[in-house]
Amino acid sequence: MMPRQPQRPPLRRPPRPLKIETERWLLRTLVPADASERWCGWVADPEVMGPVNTAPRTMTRAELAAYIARFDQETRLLIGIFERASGLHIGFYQVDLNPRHRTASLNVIIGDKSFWGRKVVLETRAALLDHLFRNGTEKALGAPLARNFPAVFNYKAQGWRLEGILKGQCRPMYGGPRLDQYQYGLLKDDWIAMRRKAAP
Amino acid sequence: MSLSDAKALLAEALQVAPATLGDEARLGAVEAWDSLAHMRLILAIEEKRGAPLDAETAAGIESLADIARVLAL
Repeated sequence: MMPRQPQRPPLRRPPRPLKIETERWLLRTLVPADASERWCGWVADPEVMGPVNTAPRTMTRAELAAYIARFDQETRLLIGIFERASGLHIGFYQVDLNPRHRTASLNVIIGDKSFWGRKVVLETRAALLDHLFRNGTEKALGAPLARNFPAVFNYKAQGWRLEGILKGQCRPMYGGPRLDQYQYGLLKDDWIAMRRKAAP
Repeated sequence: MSLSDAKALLAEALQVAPATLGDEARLGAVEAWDSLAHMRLILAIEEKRGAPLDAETAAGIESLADIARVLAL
């Protein structure tokens, strides 16, 4: 007879809609009405899309609204980043939750380039990680392209562990050699320990 | 390539005076070392070396000492 496995508490999914405030930013679930010309501009901007190896494309607001509507906001979350002072929408997170393994895969794009280099990702992802880890996630995953140096900086500065280098993992958008990708991971216990250490 | 050469390179990427950087400068501990500065730094190292860094080497750059080590390769 197999020994009984200890019962784990049921996975609590993040409440819907999600709303998190940090000192400078607001994170909230995006809805089709958030589709905007600004966001369409990000999708068409090679400087924004290039680092995530996605070809820029022309998208209408209606197409963008339909894209937003495809997120179930339960296991596939689309979360907007807004500047609290102005209400300006500046970027978004895509989070894929795996309830079986209790992992969360995070991707982020800061579409408004005037906010690059302002540590938006460090501040907002810390709050998002707090939220995810409080709601059942046990490990967070990130997989930036090796040459997406700003994204790599953010993983390093936030204390994520480099777990592997995936050689030639992706085909490049515009030809050339295949692209390497990093696999970063962050366990809940490690995050909590880092938060405790950083607390005043 | 000396530590002071590496410091000059880092200072230029961070857009600060070299004198403001200690020998123990590292990512996460220097306010000006942000995501864009990190990109400028890696590109400057590649320019100095005349070739792109491989993923393993680039992943290891987290401090002034790392920069000096990579520039000396």
